[in-house]
Amino acid sequence: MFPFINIFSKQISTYGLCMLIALFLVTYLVSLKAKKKDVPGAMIILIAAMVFLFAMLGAGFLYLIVTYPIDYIISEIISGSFNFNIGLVFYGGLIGGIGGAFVGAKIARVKLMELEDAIVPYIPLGHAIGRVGCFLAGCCYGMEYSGPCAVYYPNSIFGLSPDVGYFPVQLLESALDLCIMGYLLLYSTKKNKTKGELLFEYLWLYALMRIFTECFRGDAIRGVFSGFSTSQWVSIGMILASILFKIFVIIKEARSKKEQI
Amino acid sequence: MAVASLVLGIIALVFCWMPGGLSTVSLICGIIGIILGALGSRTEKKGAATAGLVMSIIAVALGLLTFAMCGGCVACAACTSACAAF
Repeated sequence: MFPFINIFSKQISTYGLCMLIALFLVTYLVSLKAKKKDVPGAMIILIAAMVFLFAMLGAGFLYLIVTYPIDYIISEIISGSFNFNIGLVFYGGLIGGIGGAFVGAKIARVKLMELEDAIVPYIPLGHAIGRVGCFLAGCCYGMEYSGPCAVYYPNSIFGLSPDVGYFPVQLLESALDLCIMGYLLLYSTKKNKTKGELLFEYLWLYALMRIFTECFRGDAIRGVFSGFSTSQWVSIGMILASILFKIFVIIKEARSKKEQI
Repeated sequence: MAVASLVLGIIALVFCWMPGGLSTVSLICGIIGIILGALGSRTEKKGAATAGLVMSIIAVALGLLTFAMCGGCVACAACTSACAAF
């Protein structure tokens, strides 16, 4: 599609530009909400920087382990040649980013879970913008498709045939991410939530969406195991974790009601 | 911390235009500069901390654009070999 654009005679990656817009916009929106809880903007920027760092490391690491055999990765690291193609997987970025948020909050001396309502609803917004970047770059592409809204990549840098149409799965994921954001913004207004409740609400919703959209993906390079893609397996794990958390919340609420009686 | 953030911000800005591994240097210096600048904003040297924070943010932004040219979501042998030529 448009993997590069020219700005002041310099070739700029559209994917990188979208990542930048996502990072800045999400950090700005989170800092607006965090101000109401007396958390300075500089601390939100610090947490955002750690999230970005850990997300990139996590996304790259997961891409490596699903693309290359583990013994090849170890031998390349030991030999120092690092002969890898670089890529990113969202789930690695999400898990890494959550870890980065906790590390950043520890450094900033901020209670992260008190910012849950400020941060979690905007994670799918950042992802939605990133998916637009994927659409422009031509990566994370959909399956071959010739129906309405089929997308053609005349100058693909991923070796896609210019005469074949592909399903615009990146735009579908972006639209569904925005729907999840809207739902989470409404859910965040619910009173007496348990710590972690909004995060797990996002995780199971996104996991369900991902299992669905993976059926329309065409880039099998990310790994397929027993008929399910890597992301579908991670999504199943996320849904199970969310169910366990929900059971924990129900038991906790039942116990506190018993104590009140 | 404020002065360290300023220094790292300057270094990150210098390296952010360079492709491949050098833009990674700007990303790393920039992120550390952001951390030190944010923590330094709580101290007396707020001006230096803010300057370091702003420069580090700009360097990370520009470094990210340069890095995404050569890496990012691009699983492309042609791109990585072009970067290796630098």
